[in-house]
Amino acid sequence: MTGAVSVRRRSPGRGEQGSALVLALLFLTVCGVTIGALLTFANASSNETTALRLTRGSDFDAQAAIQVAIATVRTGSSCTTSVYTPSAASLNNTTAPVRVDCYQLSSSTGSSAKRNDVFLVCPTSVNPPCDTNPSVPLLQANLIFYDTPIVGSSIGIQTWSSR
Amino acid sequence: MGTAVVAILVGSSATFTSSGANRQSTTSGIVARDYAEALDLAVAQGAWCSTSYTVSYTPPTGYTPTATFGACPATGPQYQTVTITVTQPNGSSEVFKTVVRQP
Repeated sequence: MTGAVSVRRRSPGRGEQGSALVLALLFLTVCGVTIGALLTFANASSNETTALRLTRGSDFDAQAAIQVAIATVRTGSSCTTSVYTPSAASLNNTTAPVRVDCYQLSSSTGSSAKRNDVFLVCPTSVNPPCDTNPSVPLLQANLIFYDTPIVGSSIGIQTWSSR
Repeated sequence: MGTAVVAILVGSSATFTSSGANRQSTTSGIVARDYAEALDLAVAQGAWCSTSYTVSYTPPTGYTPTATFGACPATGPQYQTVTITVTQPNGSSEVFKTVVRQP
C-alpha cells in the first residue's frame, strides 16, 4: 500500500518534557528548606547569645549589689530588708533589677563583739522576704562582722552560694 | 539556579559570621568573669583603693580585658565601682559593671 502514512503516536506519560519542572520544583524546595534552616539556626544562636548576656549581667549585678551591701552593713548600718538596691545606672541587666535583703542571725557585744548576718540578693519583683522560696535568691552569703577593736574591722565569710 | 546557589552561599556565610561573633561574645563574658575573680584576689592582696591593681590573669589569645575604677570613697562604705571592658578578636567589645569592696 503506497502512500500510506504511518503515524507514530507517542504514548502518553513516557516523555521527558515534564521532568524539568519536577527537577526545578525539587531544587527550589531543597534550597528553600536549606535557607530556612540556616536562618533559623542563626536566629536561635543570636537569641541564645542575648539571653546569655542578660543572665551574665544579672550575675554581675548580684555580685556587685551584695558587695555594696556588705560594705554598708560593715560600717555599722542596720541589717534590714532592702538594705541596698542598686540604681538602674549601675546595672548590667536593667530588665531584671535586684535588691539585697539582710537578716541578722545573731550578735554579741563586749570584748568579742560580732554580728552574724545573712545577705540575700533577689529580684525586685519579689516581695520581701525573698527567702521564703529557696530558689528565689540569686545569691546568698552568710558573714560574720567582727567589731573589735573597731566596728567592722574584719569579715569572715561562712557561706557564699550562687544559684 | 545560579541565584539560588548564591543565596545559599550568602546565607551560609552570614550564619558562620554570626556564629563566630556569638562565640566571641560568649567567650568575652567568660573572660570578664575570670578577670573579675582575679581582680577580687588582687584587691584582697594589694593596697585598698587604687586607680589600678596588678591582676594576675592571662586571657585567651585575641581577648584583652581592661578595667576602669571609680573613685574611692573618703568615708562611709568602702567599695569601688569597676567597669570591665573585654575587647574581642573581631574588634568589638563587651562591657560589664561590677564592684570591689575593701577586704
